[in-house]
Amino acid sequence: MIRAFVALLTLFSAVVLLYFFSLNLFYVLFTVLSLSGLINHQRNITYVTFRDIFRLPVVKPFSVIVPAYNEEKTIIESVRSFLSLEYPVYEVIVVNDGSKDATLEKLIRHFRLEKSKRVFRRVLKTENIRGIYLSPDEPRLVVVDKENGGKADALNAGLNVSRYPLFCAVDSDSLLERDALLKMVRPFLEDPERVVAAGGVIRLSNGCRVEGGQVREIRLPRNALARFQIVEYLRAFLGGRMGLSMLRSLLIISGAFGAFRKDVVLECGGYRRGTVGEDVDLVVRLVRYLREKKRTFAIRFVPDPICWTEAPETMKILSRQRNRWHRGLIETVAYNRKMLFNPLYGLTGMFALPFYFIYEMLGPVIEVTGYAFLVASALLGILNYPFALLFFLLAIFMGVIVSLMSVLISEYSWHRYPRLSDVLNIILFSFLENLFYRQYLALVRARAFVDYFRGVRTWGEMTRKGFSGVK
Amino acid sequence: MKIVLFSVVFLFFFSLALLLFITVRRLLSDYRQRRFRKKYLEIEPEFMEALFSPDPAAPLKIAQRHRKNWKVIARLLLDYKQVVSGEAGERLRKIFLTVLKPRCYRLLASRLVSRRLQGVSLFFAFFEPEDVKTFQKIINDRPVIRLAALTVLARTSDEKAISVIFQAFEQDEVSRAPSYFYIMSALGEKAEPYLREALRKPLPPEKIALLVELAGKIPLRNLARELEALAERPEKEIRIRVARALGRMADPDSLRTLLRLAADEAWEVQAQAVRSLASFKTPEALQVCYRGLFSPSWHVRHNSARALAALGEQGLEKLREATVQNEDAYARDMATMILDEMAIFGQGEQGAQK
Repeated sequence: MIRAFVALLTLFSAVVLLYFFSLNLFYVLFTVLSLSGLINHQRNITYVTFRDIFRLPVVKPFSVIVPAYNEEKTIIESVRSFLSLEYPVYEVIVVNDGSKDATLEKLIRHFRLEKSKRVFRRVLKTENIRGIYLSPDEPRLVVVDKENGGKADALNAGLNVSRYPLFCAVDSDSLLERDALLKMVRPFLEDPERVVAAGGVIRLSNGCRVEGGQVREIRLPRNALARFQIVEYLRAFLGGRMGLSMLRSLLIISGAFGAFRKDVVLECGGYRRGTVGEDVDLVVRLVRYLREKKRTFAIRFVPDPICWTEAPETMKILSRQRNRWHRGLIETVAYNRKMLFNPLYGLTGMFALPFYFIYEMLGPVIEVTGYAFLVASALLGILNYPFALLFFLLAIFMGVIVSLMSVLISEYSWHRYPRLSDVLNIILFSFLENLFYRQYLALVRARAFVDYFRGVRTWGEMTRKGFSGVK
Repeated sequence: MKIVLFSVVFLFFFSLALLLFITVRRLLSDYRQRRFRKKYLEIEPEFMEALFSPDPAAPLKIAQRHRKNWKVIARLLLDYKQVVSGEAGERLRKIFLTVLKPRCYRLLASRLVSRRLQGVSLFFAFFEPEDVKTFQKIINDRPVIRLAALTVLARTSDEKAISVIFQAFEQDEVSRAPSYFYIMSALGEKAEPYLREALRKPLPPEKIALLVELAGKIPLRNLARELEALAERPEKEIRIRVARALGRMADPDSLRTLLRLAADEAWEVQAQAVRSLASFKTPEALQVCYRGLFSPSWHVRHNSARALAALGEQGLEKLREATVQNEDAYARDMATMILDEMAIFGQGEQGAQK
């Protein structure tokens, strides 16, 4: 029995080693590509200022769609931020998805909303719309009140009501930098026929000072959990997505801040209702649809438009969020499994989706199984302690190098942390995350598989604290 | 085992090196910024005093004294160029010619792209017609330098410079065409003969569309006939731009073309044409916009309703007429919506278009 276990352990160790090295190799590759991409991007934007883009008549108008469910704590500040954007022509559509709290009442009171007789095209099927409100003070604001149907349904309702050819899906607990849309529209201007979607950078607002719907001072949060997430976000957005975009393999455009061409999204049926990972699902279905139609297209990552969002500061809420994200990824990969290793879908079928499947989706399962084997081997007395320790150190340093490179990229980018002590703090947390945080998240994400197969489709309550230092 | 051990040691030192690099880089950049700010604050009062002093050579003397801090001098020049004019402006120009121009030329000859860019950027405020020749040479540099150089060239009224800009536009990649839009729109009416010539050339449709847009934006009313000829092009995007540009020009003779475009086979062209018709307060425009209210396309109905609202009392009367008819519920709802929005916002072309 023990011999069989040892043989299994040896085989598993070899698989894990291979998996581990290839994963880190990819991460380092993405980070290096990101760094060069970022430097290139900065050079390219030096002589075309965003004020020039503002004056450009070829700039297409945007509909900013904001689905909101029980967001009474942050909704006013967020909508103020969306209404203060610098962009020639845009509208802000807030979709109240049957909130049980005072989200709608707050909006009505604050913006003096009046019920309108607005007509719209019901291109996508959604839950019943109870009313559309307009504000005499803020002509760009449209509030849609509908029955609860989930985030995807709310986004579809927003798409039906929207009037402009480009739309930007934004979370209602987020703040957009004033020039975020001007920066986001750049790829749609440069290549209007091919670019169908673009994603921007998400940064965490925890600890930052917010004033008038804008982040005025960038600070690190006191909460350790939020600091771990800052390291993660830096790695994911500055280190990962830019590199993936350069490899034409970007499949995740965050639901908190993504821009799309409305005609193409409508062609492929809008957001899929009932899914919890509507953002990744939409991008993968877009790619699938366009590949099947044999149309050339591009999905870009733009490293300078910034959206600030609030990160969970308790383990409970963080685990709900990550469980949901992982279920969303599993749902999307399962729904689009026909694309996996299918040359018909080009680089997406042969590299991007398999990468997400093997490394992102199965990653936590392999990690948790590894920990289980480690404990079992220790209990059976067959654990090679020096090797296990060295391997653990190796994993830590590989992770730290990727994080350090992301910090370096952030140093070259916009809105770097103003104090050196903040940067050093982030680096410290990139070491510390390997000691507990990473293992905990692996467990949470592995648990998502159980929930997925049990048929859990809920979002899970997300309690908001509200933006700190709001004036 | 050994390999793993060596890997751990290597990764440890590599992480340490990265950490050091990040820290030192940050410390250095903070130090440089602080030093620059300090120097700027030190030189600025003297510089300002000299700029308005009775001695015309005073600013030059100061600039020469601080020659070592040429970056601070350059910043001061660029900052003050925006706020001073007349004699003081002339003094700034002299400082640039004596102290900075030779350095700019050296930067332009550098192997490093960032240096060459820096060199071009310093010409932004103090470009002289005699520099056209130098800039012509760097047009073949990397795209980012080329665009920067063209932006500088656009600041002069020199015909040679304008011709260089249009030549570069014709030869450059289509994906970079939007960048030329900013450059060429700065030329204003000087662009007219070159634009007319370019419109006749067999350029890619994306470039033609951009030129049409440019003609509408400046606007170059003398090019209305050329644009009208393009209304027959098979590319939808060009016809949309023609409809928009003609609307901006509001030349009464273009009404026929716009009326034709309002009956185009593509709804996008129709939608733009009816919107542009709002600039022509004629019975035909009113009639076509009213008909557009009954179009099967939501966008055409929407733009027609907005155009009617912008056409004054007669347009509003037509909208009211549409709200009481029962033949087309879609047209009725659209007209009701626009009138309702006007009641809420208190104006015709409401704020969403601001």
